Amino acid sequence: MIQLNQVSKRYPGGFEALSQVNFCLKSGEMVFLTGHSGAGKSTLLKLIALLEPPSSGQLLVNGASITSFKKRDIAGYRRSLGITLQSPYLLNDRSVFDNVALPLLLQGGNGAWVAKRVRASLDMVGLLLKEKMLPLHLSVGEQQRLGIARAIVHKPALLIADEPTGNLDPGLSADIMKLFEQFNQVGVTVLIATHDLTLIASMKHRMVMLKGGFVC
Amino acid sequence: MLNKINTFISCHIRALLGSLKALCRTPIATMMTLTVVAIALTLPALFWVLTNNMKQLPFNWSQGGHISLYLHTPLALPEETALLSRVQQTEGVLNASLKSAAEGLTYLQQQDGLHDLLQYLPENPLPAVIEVVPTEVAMATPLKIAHLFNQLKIYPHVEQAKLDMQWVTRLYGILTLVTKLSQMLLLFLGFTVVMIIGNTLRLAVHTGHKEVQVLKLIGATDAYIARPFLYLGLWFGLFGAMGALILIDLFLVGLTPLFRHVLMLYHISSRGLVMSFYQVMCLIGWAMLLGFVGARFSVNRQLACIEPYA
Repeated sequence: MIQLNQVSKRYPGGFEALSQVNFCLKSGEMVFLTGHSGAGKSTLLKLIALLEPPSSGQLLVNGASITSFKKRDIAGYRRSLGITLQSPYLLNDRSVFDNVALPLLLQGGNGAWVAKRVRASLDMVGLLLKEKMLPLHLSVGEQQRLGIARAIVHKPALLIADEPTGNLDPGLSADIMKLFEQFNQVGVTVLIATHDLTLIASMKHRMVMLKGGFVC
Repeated sequence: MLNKINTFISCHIRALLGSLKALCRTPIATMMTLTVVAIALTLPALFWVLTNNMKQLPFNWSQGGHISLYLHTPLALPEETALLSRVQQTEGVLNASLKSAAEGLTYLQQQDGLHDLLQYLPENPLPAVIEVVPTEVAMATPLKIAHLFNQLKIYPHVEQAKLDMQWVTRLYGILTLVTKLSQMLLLFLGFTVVMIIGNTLRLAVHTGHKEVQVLKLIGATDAYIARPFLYLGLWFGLFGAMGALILIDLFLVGLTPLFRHVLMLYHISSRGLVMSFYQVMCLIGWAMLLGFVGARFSVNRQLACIEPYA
């Protein structure tokens, strides 16, 4: 599904976050990206989500290069992804329901169909009863789950998660990982960046280790 | 296809209503911007309304706007009468009357200090005069009256012709100047409105920085994100124009008595100062266009600078 060939990322100032990375993510797979802080995990996810362009190398999605995408195509590509981050990027002046509905509204969704999909997502992450609340009134763990609900509401083919359990206690972290595993079991390709090796060890999925911008 | 149209319409309705709600969320800031926009629109629009009202005045020259045709001397009475008849039949002439040289001299002698005038003159030097009162149609504009005047002054036996239209020419000159001034103000202050709305929306985008980031992160196009801001620009234009209409109305109500008084001095009757429906529509359309241009100019640049996950 996703293939990185000799991909490097050099930031202005000369810091090379990724060097000649080769990486492959097959459809329906669940993969953990791990490594210390600064190893290049987040950079790799940003490149895959086209949040940043690579400095060199080739990035293929379903066999097609996405590095030459125009602005409009990039937006379209991002709509096909589910992205959740350590800081879940929520709109605090809108309700839980409205936050989750955003990707569907972008697709032109309307009325009952949106409501049905949003409630199904909220139910999956256990926030159905809090749909009218504002994100600020939720706990950190609930906010994280809200971010995940927003990432999966439009049934993306690829779910990208950057440190989704970074702010959570071990119990809650395990719950969230189980949630990702459930999505994977219904066919969603999942790519998670985390440095929590204990958590990774408890789940039997492929792990890719990054160190100093290189794949080990 | 129908589904796409529905989606398109619902997206626009959502953006339209969302932008209206955004205006209502910050009533004081909105009112301040709208007041500045309204004032910037009022000044040129007021000039436009005033000049338009002046141009449409029914000028009545019955009190001295006539044409005087001075005939050659000496001229026999049958020739004078024939010329009078020809003048009366000319298109654009309401009526014409002949004042003979003798009548003119009698009139002159009746004036103070001139009664013994003939003692110093060997003969009557005055020419016969035909006084011409043009029709209202012929007096409608200086061009039309000038056309009639030029036609009459080349008639045979007419030595000299005079037309008392200087004040009208001056008035039209002033009106043309004010019209040009209002057009320049409309452009100049229009640019100001673009800047005001542009800056207001630049701040709105800056305030909604996080929302823009989130929308970009989940795949919204710049056009989708910009849409509510563009509608916001249109709302600013529309409500600013409505504010300007209220201000113009207040000015017109205040100026109407003075305007009527000035017109009475020229024996012109008028219903007062009014703004036509066409002018109202033009002002609203112009203001909304300015709002849209200001929004587009500012928002597009601002959105290009915001990246998700920064």
